[in-house]
Formats: sequence, C-alpha cells, structure tokens
Amino acid sequence: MRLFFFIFTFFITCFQSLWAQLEWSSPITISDAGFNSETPQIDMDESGNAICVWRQQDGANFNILASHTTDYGESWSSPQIISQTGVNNQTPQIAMDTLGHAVAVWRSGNTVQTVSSSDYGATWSSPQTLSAGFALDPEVVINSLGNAIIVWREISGSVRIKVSYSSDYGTTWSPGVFISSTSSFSPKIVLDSTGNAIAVWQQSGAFSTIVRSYSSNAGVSWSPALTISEATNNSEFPQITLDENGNSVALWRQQTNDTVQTAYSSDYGVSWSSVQTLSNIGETVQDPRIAMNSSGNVIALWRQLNSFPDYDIQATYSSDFGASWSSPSAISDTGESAIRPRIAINDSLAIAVFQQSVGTDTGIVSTDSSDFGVTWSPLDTLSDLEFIAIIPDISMDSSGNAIVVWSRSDGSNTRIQISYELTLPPVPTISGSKKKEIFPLRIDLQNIITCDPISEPGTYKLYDNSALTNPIETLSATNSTVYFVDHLQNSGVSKTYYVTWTNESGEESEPAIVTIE
Amino acid sequence: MINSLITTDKLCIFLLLNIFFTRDFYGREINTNQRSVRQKNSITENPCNLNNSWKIKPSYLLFQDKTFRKILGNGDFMISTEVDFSIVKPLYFFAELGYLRAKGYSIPSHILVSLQMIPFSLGLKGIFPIKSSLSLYIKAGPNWIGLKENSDYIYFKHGVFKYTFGATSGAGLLIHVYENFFLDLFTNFIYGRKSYIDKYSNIRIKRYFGGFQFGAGLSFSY
Repeated sequence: MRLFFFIFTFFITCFQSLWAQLEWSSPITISDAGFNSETPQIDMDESGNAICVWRQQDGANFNILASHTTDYGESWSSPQIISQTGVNNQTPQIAMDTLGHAVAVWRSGNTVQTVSSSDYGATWSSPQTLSAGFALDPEVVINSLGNAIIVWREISGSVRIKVSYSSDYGTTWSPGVFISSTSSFSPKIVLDSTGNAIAVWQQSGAFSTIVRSYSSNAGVSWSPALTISEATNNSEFPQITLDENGNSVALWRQQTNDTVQTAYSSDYGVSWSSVQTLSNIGETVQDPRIAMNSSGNVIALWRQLNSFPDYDIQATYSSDFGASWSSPSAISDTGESAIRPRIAINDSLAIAVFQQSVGTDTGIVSTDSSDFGVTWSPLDTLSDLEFIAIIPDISMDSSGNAIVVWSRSDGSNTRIQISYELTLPPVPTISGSKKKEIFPLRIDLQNIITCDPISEPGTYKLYDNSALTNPIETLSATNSTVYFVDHLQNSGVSKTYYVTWTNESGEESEPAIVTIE
Repeated sequence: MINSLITTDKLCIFLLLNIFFTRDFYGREINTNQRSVRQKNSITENPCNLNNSWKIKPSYLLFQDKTFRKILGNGDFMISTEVDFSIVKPLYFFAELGYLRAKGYSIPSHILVSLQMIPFSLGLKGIFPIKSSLSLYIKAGPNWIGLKENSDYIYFKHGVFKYTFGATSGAGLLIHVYENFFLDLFTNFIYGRKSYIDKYSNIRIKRYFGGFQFGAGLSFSY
C-alpha cells in the first residue's frame, strides 16, 4: 500500500426516500370572479397541454367554459364560453389527444352537445347537437387517429345508451345509435389508440346489472351487450379501463351486499372473468374509481362509511391486470371524512386525490404511490382551507406531470382552481469517503462527498442539517462529477451530510443523505 | 626586463610556499629549517595539545522519516556551527547548532509546504591524531530538535512547531589546512522521535525528526 496515496472509505450509508412525495403548486384560480363555477373536468396530453372545462352560472343559466394551458398548468388562458348561451348547460366532459385535438361534450338543456378544437383548446368549433331526444350523462373519448366516441343516455321509450362516433377528431359525427335495449344508467367508455372501444353501463332488467358492449372499429359498430356483473344482484356506477393490449378492468358497486366488485378482460372486452368482490361485505361503499397502466398495475378506490358521517377512502391494487387484488386499506386520514376519490396512474406513479375534511374545513388532498398502491405517501392538502373545496378531478401524463382541478368558494362565489405538480429536480446520487491530506507535521482529515453527474445545468448544495439551512458549500456543474470536501474533520466522529440539486429555475430537489463515519 | 619578471615570479612562489609551511599541526610557528623536526614531533608529541575550536559546517541531511522524504525529498542542505572545548586531552566538550529549511508538497494535493529544522546537540568528543596533519574524532551526546512547518494551505491558519529530545552521534576527520584552520570531514546521525496527537484530525502522528548528516566544514582552532 502506498502510504501517501491511501484514500480510504469508511462506513458509508446512503438513504433515499422509498416514495417520492410530490410537490404541488399553490392553487391557481382559473375561472372568472363574480360567477359561480363548478363540476370541473380536465384532460392533458404528453406535451404539457391541458384543457379544463366547467359550468359557470351567468345569472340565469349555466354556460360551459374552457381554459387551457400549454405549460403543464403553470399559466392558463382566459376562460371562454364554448356552449350556447341562454340555456342551461351542465355535466361537461373533455378528452384530448396528443396532437392538439380535443372534444368537449355536455348536456345542453335536454340535449347532448359537443365542440371540438384542433389547437389544444385555443379555439373551439360551434356546438353541435348529437342527441335526438331528451339526453343526459354524456361521456367522450378520443385517440390520435382522429377517432372520437361520445356515449350518453337518451330517452327513446326508455332511457337507453346511445353512441356517436367521429373519424375526424370531432369535426363531424355519425348519427347516434342505441347500444342498450332497456333502461340504462351511468355509461362509461374507453378507447385505445387503434380504435378498440368498450362501453359499460348499468342496465335494468330483472336485476340492474353491469353490461358491456365493445367495438373494434372506433365505434362504427358495436357488439351485443353482455352482462359482466352478477346476474342476480343489483349493481351500479360502473367504471372501466383499457390498455393498448386489450386488457380491461371494470369496477362497480354491487347494491345487494353493498360491495365493490370487479371483473377483467384480456381480449378487448369480448370475454370477461368471473366477478371478484374487493370490499368487505357489510360496509357501505360508494363512488368506485379505477385506473390501470400498461404494466398491469391497477388501483381501485372507493369511499366507505366509517362511522356516520365519516367516510374513508379505501384503496386496493392489482399487479396482474385485475386478476388478483390486495386487501383494501384506507388511504385517507383517520378521523377525517373523505369522499369523491379520483385516481391517475402511469408506468411509474399513481396519484389519488379526494375531498377530505381538514379539521373544520374541507379541502382537496392528494397522495401518491410509486409502488402502484402498496404504499402511499402522507396526504398533501392542495387547496387552501378557510372555504370549502370540493369535487376534484385529475389528469396525469406518462412522465408524471399531473394537474388537479376542483371548485372552491372564494367567500362570494364558487371558483375553479387547479394545482399542478411541480417538477422537482432529481435527487442527486451521492457517496461519502474519508481522505487524508498529509503534511510533514499534521494531517487534514477530509470528508469527501461525491455527487454523480446530472445532465442538466444546476447547482449542488451541501448542508450539514436536515432543515437545509445555510449550505456549507455550493457548486455548479453540468454533467460532471462534483466533489464536496469538508476539511479538518476529527477522526472517530461521524457526520451526516445533505446534498440537494437546484435546477436553473431555482427548484431544489429533495436531499440525498450520506453519513460518513 | 624578461629576466626581471622571471625572478619576481620565482620569488612569489617561494614566499607562498614558505608561508604555507610556517605553522605546524597545532598552529605553532616553525621556520623552513624546522620542517623535518615538525613532522617528527607531529607523530611523537602529545596530540591533545590541540586547543579549543569553532567550526562552520555545511552539510546534507538525509531525512530518516519516510513521510518527510515523500513530502520534502530525500534530504536538504543544512548549515551547522560547532564549538569544541578541551576538557582532558583527548576529550572535548562540543556544542553544535544546525539549521535546515526544506520545501515540498503535501500529499496528495500538492500544497506547498516548508519545514525548518533546528537540531542542537551537546556532548563529548574524542580526537585522535593519526598523522601530523590528520586526526580522527568521534562524538556523542543528547540533542534537542525543533521543527517548524508552514504551508500555503488555507485551512491551516498558522504554522505548527514541534520539538523532541534525542541523541546525536558522529565521527569525522580533521585535516590540517593552514595554520589554525582545519578541514572537517564529518558525518552525524541525529536521532529524535516524536509521537503526538494531531490537534486537527485527532490522529496519532509518529515522526523521526533527524537523519543522517554528512558534509565538510572549516574548523578554526585557537
């Protein structure tokens, strides 16, 4: 061993968070002051574009308004009315593809109307009426091939499910066709990138069951309806997901035993598994929600009565496209009442948002899971308190950028607010070692903290306290290894360091931690 | 004219030779006619008649400590001075003071550092004539060695001074040069070891402060 070149590493311990607590922006109000706005819905693409729609009261009627962002939610356009005025408009829905096309649909009076945009929501077409009679509860989907499908309930003898499709991003629409034969409720629809679609709804008969119909040609033709829930129990409020490989999972509430049930398909909805019950029998459950990623990770949420009037948000997960499920567990705070869960998932992250009481207030809270439902982060309150915030919706892209929208009173009116996920810089990868600088009569014992390169330009900050105050040293680098050297250390004394990385926008990462002994 | 110049040169050479051989080994005046007598006396007379002396001794010190050698090089120039006092012939008391300043670079960051060394030795010396103009001596005694380190290292606000006690031993040859002047060919081993806790790093440091010294000095006897 060469005495004067020995650099030796002692015990090194690196810690990283098991889950990354997301950071959210402060609420941004996007609706106009002086008007009551509510029932917001949001959808976003893969490039930071998002469109939010809601209904807003103009004194006598509700109009449908839209606002869009091109920077992941940081700034929003002035709201514009996209519906007809002079009539009550409600239950808006929005869907957008990755090429800037979007379709919005809502109930206008007793009809279903739609508009389209080809510039990420900057401008909109005039409303078109799709329904022929009394219509309500529209839903819309779109893909990047120009396929769009709208499904709704329309009275024709009974209230039945009707669909219309478009092959030009919602510019023109086919005449609507009924795909259910008896009274039906709560239609939901999913569409993949190649035109496979599945619609589910609650259909009345001897029992109220969940049925599906699928289309392999983007809504041009539909299969006969097939019951996928238990035939001899009443079920309602279906939800459905579909991936690009034909895997689909449906979720609904079974009324008879007051449970959440599910079934899955691996052939674009042609055939379905037997029904599984996810919640415990005897619990009071409502509002089931489901989301699935391309790897087969599925998360289901619902609200469950704890002790009236308190509800929990229960969550369960599957890692095999819905074939098997974990036991449900509460993800909302104990002792607080939580309702209206919404879930978004991609291949690396799942985010759940819901409305929860926070002390005497009610706010919108979020939690995230990087292990697809196994563990969840502590709740983060997104909305300001003091006034009630309700009815959240969430959209997330494949990179984990997410926007949450809700309505909240400003003391005079109900306004639409959003919060977007702040893109935190990556946590630096660090390691620690000890080194001696040897002089004839003395030694400088140094703690060396090595930071692996990060490709973007930024600044590393070295702290010796977990509060991350008063950095010991700051070093700027771009894609190069950075070394912090803490001089004149005492042998036998361990020291813990915290290193963050700050990008050019001034956003500082969570700290990486190393203890050098 | 030419004859005159030749005569002058011969005269100068004669005078130089005459001056050069006008004192014996012990500094006593002799004349040309006494040279054969002086050579005889240098062998037969008591060599302890040598008086006290003062020496200036340039030398080279090879560091004993491996860390010093890595940082400062194998050694460096040292200047010393020594006084000898006759006690009982052939025994003398000596006192020797040296000074060395070496520069080098810290390891591994190559920070400029200098080290100043001051060894001070006391002891006894025995001088033993071998020929009329040549004596051998040996010496030994305790020492004190002080080291001062300075550097450009910004994290060390001040220099550091360390000292230790050890022992010095040495041997040499005294060659009579001219009247009271002698050439001293010498070698010393300066030994001093220090073990201490570094106040900066709390690490125990062990260093040998001295080394092997050799050189040629000029001695003046009186």
